[in-house]
Amino acid sequence: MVIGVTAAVFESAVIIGIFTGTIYAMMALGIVASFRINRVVNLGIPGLAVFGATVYFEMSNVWGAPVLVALLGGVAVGALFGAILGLCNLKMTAWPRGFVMIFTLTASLFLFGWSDKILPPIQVSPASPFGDSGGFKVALTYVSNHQIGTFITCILVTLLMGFVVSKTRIGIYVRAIYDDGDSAATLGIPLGYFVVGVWAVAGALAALAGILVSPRVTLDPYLILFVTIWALAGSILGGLESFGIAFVGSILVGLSQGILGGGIIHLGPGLENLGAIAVVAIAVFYAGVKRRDLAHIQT
Amino acid sequence: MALRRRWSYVALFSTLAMLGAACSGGSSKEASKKADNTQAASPAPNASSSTPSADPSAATPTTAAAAPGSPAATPSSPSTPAAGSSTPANKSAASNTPAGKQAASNTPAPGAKPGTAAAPTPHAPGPAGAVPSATPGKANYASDVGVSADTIRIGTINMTSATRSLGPALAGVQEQNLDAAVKYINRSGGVSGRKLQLVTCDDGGDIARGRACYEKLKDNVFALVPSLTWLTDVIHDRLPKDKVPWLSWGWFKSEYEDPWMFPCHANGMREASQVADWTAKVLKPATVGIMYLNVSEDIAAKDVATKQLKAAGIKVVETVAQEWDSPDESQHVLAMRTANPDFILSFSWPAPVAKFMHDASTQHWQPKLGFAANHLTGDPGYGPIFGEYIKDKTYTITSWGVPTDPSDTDNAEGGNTAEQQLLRDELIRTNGREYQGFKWRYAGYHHITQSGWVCTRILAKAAEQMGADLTRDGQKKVLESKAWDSGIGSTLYWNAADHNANQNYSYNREFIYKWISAKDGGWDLKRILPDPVFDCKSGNIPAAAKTICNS
Repeated sequence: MVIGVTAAVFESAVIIGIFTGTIYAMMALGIVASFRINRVVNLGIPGLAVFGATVYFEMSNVWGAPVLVALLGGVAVGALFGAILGLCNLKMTAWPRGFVMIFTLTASLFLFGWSDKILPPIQVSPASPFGDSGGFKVALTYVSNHQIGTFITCILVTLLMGFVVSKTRIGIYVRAIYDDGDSAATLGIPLGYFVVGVWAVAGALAALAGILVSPRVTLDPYLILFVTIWALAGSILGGLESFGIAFVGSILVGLSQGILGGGIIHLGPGLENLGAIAVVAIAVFYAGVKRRDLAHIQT
Repeated sequence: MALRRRWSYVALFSTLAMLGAACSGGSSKEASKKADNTQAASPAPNASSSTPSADPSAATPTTAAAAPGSPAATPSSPSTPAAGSSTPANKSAASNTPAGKQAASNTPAPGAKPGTAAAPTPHAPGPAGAVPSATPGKANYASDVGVSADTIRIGTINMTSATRSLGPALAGVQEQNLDAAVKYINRSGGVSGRKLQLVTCDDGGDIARGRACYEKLKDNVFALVPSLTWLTDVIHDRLPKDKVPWLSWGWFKSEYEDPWMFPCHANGMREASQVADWTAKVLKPATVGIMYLNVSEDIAAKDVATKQLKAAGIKVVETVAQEWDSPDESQHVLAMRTANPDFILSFSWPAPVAKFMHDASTQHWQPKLGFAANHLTGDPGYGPIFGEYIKDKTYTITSWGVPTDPSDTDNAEGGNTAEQQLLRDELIRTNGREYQGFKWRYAGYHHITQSGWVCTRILAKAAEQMGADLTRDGQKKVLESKAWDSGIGSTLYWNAADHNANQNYSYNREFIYKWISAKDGGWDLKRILPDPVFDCKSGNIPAAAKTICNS
């Protein structure tokens, strides 16, 4: 299948794939964070991402606020709405998890609608917090400062979250609630504060993801929804529990798309995502079989 | 035990019998066929309401489609002819501009005869039956569905509330364009003494809601005018039965196969055919890359273009299928870069194309001869979305002329026509100064919204020809009887025997524009000659026009 691929083309495809995967990884972190506390797949993440990015766009592009202020504003709004979702989760403790998941999806749709109301009726692309120009050439492709900045941010956040969960007292409490919420409560761990707090962090991560993803994919709710679907696929590899494996899974999805879409292997129209779908299928199978083992991997 | 087993046998045989009956299906199919035949043989369901004053509600403008208790479809009537405006009192206002004068008096402008019949064409034979004509002196009456002695109701179904799918940006503007056309026609005297009334219905981009809209409108309006709705691809089972003429937006190729649809702009396949032919004859690249959206219409466009390019000896070295939700196009830029075509043709959607352009820009790469993209890339409002990269290297094809800077003298006969000026004046008159901004550029220059204006004008002209005896059948025959010059560059005709496709192309020509830098540093379009023309013998091509004939 590989037809006369030069090393430069392959290198370029790999680089493109890694940066595409970074987009998914950013979105995956929020999904893992909220799942890590009360086992609910948070489908509110794309809504929080879009709304956080919308606030960032309004503040930076319309009000003229400095990029850093707009960034903080977007992330803060994401955290606020994440906390509200967490509070709703507390009220729904007795509900089946599937119903709560659907509730989070409705929250996304609500935030999509609200963002639509705010945004102009054309596709917009917010300014990058890392600047819209600058970068360097690698092989046949050009890597922008935005891509590098997003990649580094993603790695730092992954390491930070992994550290907090595995090495700190907060992490121990979070793991205790995740393993058995009722027992954790009897030990005096304030369940409510932790659920709301972790969902607020998930909201902040989603907003940060939206702000970093939208300069590249444009600030369109449906596009970001699809990014989230690929992110979900990547995070499943770690059973939705591990930040590190979610990062690796997302990069794998991006790599497969980069290599198959970069003209190295021609599979025909519509089949370009086949590699990504294969990664998802393997991830679901692997996570299903090894879930117990993965649950104890705290990266 | 034995009893239970016996009942089990009974249950088993009953089930098998029911399955057998269900699977044979003969009787039910036969029944539906008979029902269809009966329906076809009997008068059309709306025939009874077409008799004069048969149903007072049918002639009441406000009843139209606004059935209560149906939130799915919410028709409204923005263009109810007000008593004050029912007289042609504003004729003087209309004639403030040369275009207004011309349109009001039907005097042809140099090189343009808006809305009037063009010269007959060798490929547009007349209809099978006699073409209806007006009976002088006969009083108007409710001659058919949606027609009364003083009103003709026309309908439109748009995805106005589909917020992220062309809704506010395009469908809402489409309705405003139609509204402007209706108001202009009414102010200029109406249609043989009748005023037009526009009835709108919002389907939100949902086909089921679109069907509900259609059901409400079909018995209340005389005809449908260009609408932004996916419904036009799936309603073909109903139009011939209901005999509703629909001057449609022309997005789907199936519209050209429906005898009751009159597509008002060139669809993707036609654009692809024209732009491939133009590329081969004008730019003459040795190799071409094609990117297309992975949907049936654009796959068909890619196939048509590939065939045409191959016939011209041009090699298609790479094809890239884009997804509308693609988060990144870098990999496709890499694929094109590796294949290194002289020129790239795009039959895709603005979002992935914009991403491709941005990624190609960051990779500092471009094909030697640039790009040619479908009309979506040429919408004037979209310039900033594609960025500086598109300037001086991107051609677009569109169905109608687009007004450009006055210094673009090549565009006088296509874009800066009297009818274009009239369109702009009427849009501003109807909608106010908001049209000076983004929406105006979209409304005025987008070829689907332009089609709304053009085909409402054509509908009125055709209806006028029938006078008091206005009927849907007659309307169809009149529309098919001759070619209709839009006044903004192209001539339309719908062959009575077959509205379809390549040998009977309903458009005689299209236009090529190129993105350039505007005087203020923004984005502007420049007309590029020669024009692509489907068949030089088949339309009302001005003798002076520079054209490339696609035979």
